[in-house]
Amino acid sequence: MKPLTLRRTVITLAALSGLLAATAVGSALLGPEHIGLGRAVAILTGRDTPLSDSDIGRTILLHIRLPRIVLAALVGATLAVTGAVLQSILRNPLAEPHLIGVSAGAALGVMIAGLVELPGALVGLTTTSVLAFGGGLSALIVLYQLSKVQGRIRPETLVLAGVILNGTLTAGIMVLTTYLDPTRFVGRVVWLMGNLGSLDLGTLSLIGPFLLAGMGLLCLQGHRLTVMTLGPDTAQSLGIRAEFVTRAGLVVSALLIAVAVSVSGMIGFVGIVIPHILRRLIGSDYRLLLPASVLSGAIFLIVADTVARVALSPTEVPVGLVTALCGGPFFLSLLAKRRKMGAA
Amino acid sequence: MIEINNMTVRYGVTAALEDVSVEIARGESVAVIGPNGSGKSTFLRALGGLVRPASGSILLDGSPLASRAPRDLARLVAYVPQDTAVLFEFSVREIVAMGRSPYLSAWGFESRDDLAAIDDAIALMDLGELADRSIIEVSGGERQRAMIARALAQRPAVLLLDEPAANLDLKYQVRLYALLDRLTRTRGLTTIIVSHDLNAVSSCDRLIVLRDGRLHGVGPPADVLTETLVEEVYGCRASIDTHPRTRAPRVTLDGRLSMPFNWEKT
Repeated sequence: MKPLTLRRTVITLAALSGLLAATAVGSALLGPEHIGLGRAVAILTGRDTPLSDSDIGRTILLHIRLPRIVLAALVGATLAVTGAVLQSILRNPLAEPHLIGVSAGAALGVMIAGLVELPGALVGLTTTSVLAFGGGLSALIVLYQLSKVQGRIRPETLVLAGVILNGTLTAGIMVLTTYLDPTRFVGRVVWLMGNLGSLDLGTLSLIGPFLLAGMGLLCLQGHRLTVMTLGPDTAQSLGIRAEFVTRAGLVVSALLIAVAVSVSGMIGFVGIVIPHILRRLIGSDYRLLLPASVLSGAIFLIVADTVARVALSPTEVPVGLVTALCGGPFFLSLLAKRRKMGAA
Repeated sequence: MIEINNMTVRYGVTAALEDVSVEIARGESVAVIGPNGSGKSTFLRALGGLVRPASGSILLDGSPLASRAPRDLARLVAYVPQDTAVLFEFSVREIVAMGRSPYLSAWGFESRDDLAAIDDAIALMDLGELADRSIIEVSGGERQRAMIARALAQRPAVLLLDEPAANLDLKYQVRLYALLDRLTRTRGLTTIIVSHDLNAVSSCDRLIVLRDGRLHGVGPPADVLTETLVEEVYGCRASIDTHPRTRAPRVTLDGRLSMPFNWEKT
């Protein structure tokens, strides 16, 4: 890969932004209720003449498809960019957002919400989301304490602590599922597999700025995270406050992951597949990799969610299944290639 | 330039270095020698600001090393660790470019000065033809050269190298030491090298000998490198004479006779 220049960064990001816009438009038009491009533009610009049947199209576009596309974009972007960040600070190219146990904590919150009867909403969010975020946050605190050795967080301990925490919390989820009655059990499990269709505009306007701000913060760490891939010691000797970048990267990523999981379930593979494809295409320099992950993650999840909506219409497939069906084979081919490289 | 006073470094409760005091002048080339676990790498890590001494102090140009921001320290001191594994697909050039890290702004791109320093370092380590290759694909020695080039791109005043020649073939070992000599003379670079290769470091200005975390001796190689010292510190026998051309001490292990008579019992 040629060294990164400002010019290449700008061109790549502009191209990805264009692709994201095109994907969003395409997704908005697709679905059981066909909406033409002309009418969509008319509805969005307010030049739409309200006819009885166009009102359905209007409602579907503005209140169902658009929020869903925005959510898919936000969640996809979050998972991809946090995946890239974790790969750097854990110094592990195979790290992904759901590895460190924060997602499992959030999922456990979702299961608990399914067991106990609670008021439907808190501060504009569903109780499920609040409990999920709380679960993710608790997992982060435990992870943070577990991975400190002599006051420092080392990549090796962090990976180990994350995997162990993840395993324990997943076991907890399994235990809880035995207490759920079968009808609710299925609903919860399907929700956990990834669901982008259940969010209202109010929640979206609450989490949107939070996720965007967090991603913005992470994108500004480009050159630091590039150097962090060489390990904390080398990074420190290159003038990076390695311990601070590790902690801040971990906390910000985990908060974003907890929010994403609490509104959309555990959508797998985005966080590992997107950074990997991008590394092949644009290189490993995080100054470009991070913002490109944001845009590509958004594109990928919009496409996956559109497939989930349209493929077996009118039935819907959990979007996590779509990403897993794309990501699983990709991951296997990656491993096969690695084995080949190891053998050679 | 570097003043180490009564430095003690601990990992947990075990002391890796104890009460070490030594001064190193600007433009001096110094080698740190001693057996495995004697504290050589810890000595370098302390000078690189990677471990804080539990007691004692390190002064760099008169002010405490610990008081400098990592960025400022990285403009003065460059460190190449022994383990140089890279897990991500970077080109050799990208790895060298990371040496400019302490000079970049947060989202900044390399300035003309940065690019010049990178090109310079690539040329010094003879990496021109490898610059666009992936760091994962090149050989161990080539990777090590890239890591040294990265440190040179930092344009440091002090260069800390941990076993820099371990993976290098003969030509690049010789070339590396010749290059370090030249940089010492032309740029006033201070080099501190950890090595087990006594013949390679016998042309340094001074040797620092560590044993069990303590300073065993300091001085010019001709004074320090003696048969007694090798036996005391490394526990094996060697013959030391003078190299006919370089006049530096030449260490030859006594082959199978190197081990003390009753080593199997100890």
